[in-house]
Amino acid sequence: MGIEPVMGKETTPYEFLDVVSESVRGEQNIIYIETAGLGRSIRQAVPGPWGESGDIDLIVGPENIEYILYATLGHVTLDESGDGAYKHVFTPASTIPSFTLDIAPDVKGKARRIIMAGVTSLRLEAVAREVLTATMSIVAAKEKFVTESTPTFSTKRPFVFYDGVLKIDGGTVARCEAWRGTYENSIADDAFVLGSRFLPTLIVGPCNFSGDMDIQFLDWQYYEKYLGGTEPGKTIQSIAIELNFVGESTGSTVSGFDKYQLKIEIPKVYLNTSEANFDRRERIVQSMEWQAIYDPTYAYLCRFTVTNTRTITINTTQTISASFTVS
Amino acid sequence: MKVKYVGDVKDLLMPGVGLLQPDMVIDVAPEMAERLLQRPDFERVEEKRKAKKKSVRVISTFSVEGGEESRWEHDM
Repeated sequence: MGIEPVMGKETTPYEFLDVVSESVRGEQNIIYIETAGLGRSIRQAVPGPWGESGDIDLIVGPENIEYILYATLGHVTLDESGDGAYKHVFTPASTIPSFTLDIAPDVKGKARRIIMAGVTSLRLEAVAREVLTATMSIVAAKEKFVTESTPTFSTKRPFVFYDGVLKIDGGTVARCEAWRGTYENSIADDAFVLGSRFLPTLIVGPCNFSGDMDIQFLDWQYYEKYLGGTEPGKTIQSIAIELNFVGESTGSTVSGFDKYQLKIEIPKVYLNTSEANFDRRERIVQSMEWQAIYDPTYAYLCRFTVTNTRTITINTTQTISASFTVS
Repeated sequence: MKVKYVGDVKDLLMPGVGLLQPDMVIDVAPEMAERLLQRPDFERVEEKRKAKKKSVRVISTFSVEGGEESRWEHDM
């Protein structure tokens, strides 16, 4: 993938992702002309608004997620250790950049180039016994055939469940079995205009971050947080969630830069449901659905931090470029 | 054809080639090199031209007894 210099202007991809699977497809949305005077059968078909969308599943590592986070959230700041390690901090911006995506199935040297793509949602799943996975859902303007690029892939070890620690209100949750979160951008995929078969631009709507988590039910503390006390009242209590994956050494000697890391911070979260039901002699797992809201104290909805040993490169004059800062 | 990886990622895997390191030069087929050169993290490596051998023009030679050989130029 490559961040487009201007919205809709295709670029040669420079970031290569070794994905698990993809389901990106185009759709003709053919308009069949139905009239009454020509008998029982349809007699004419014309191309309709071109649709381009789908999902990409990948395993999250320290050097394959930064561009996806930038494309999802739209704002990044970069900090460096001075000895080869970098910290990228991503937060939601008022708009997001478009990117070009080449999908190369290794067939006859050709690839599908998806142009003016935008991330409609990014789902992260951290489940015990598994690696950290992500599903990026996209919508795009169109596609075309191109000659495939020669890829290179990161060989850094992906994040595994035992790298991760969940904290609620600053306290470590000792028995978390799973955490899932979906960040949504709500891109309008039906905003076509007269004069073109293809989306003229990506119009970004409200953003939203929600998910669920499963915690072994050993005491009532999280149920109390869910209720906001001993019973539901007229006010509800927010919690802060932090999920931190710390991987292998970066080789840096600077504190805070010495390990590959992915940290997700959500300062203001409300628990919408909590299920802690028993079934015969099975262990009880408390499953809670959560929803993040903007926290004016921190001035963000959520924050993702990636620590690794390479810098993100973004050559764009999209309006979003003002959101790329280096500290 | 030789190209140089000028990115900053260590141990980058290129299928069919191996692990790349910053500033590493690889020798690949021309068509692959052309594709790599479309990326911002690869650069062309200019082949050094072979230096021309300095030629010595011998105007004349003569031999003296004893087998010793010398060279001289005509006085102009």
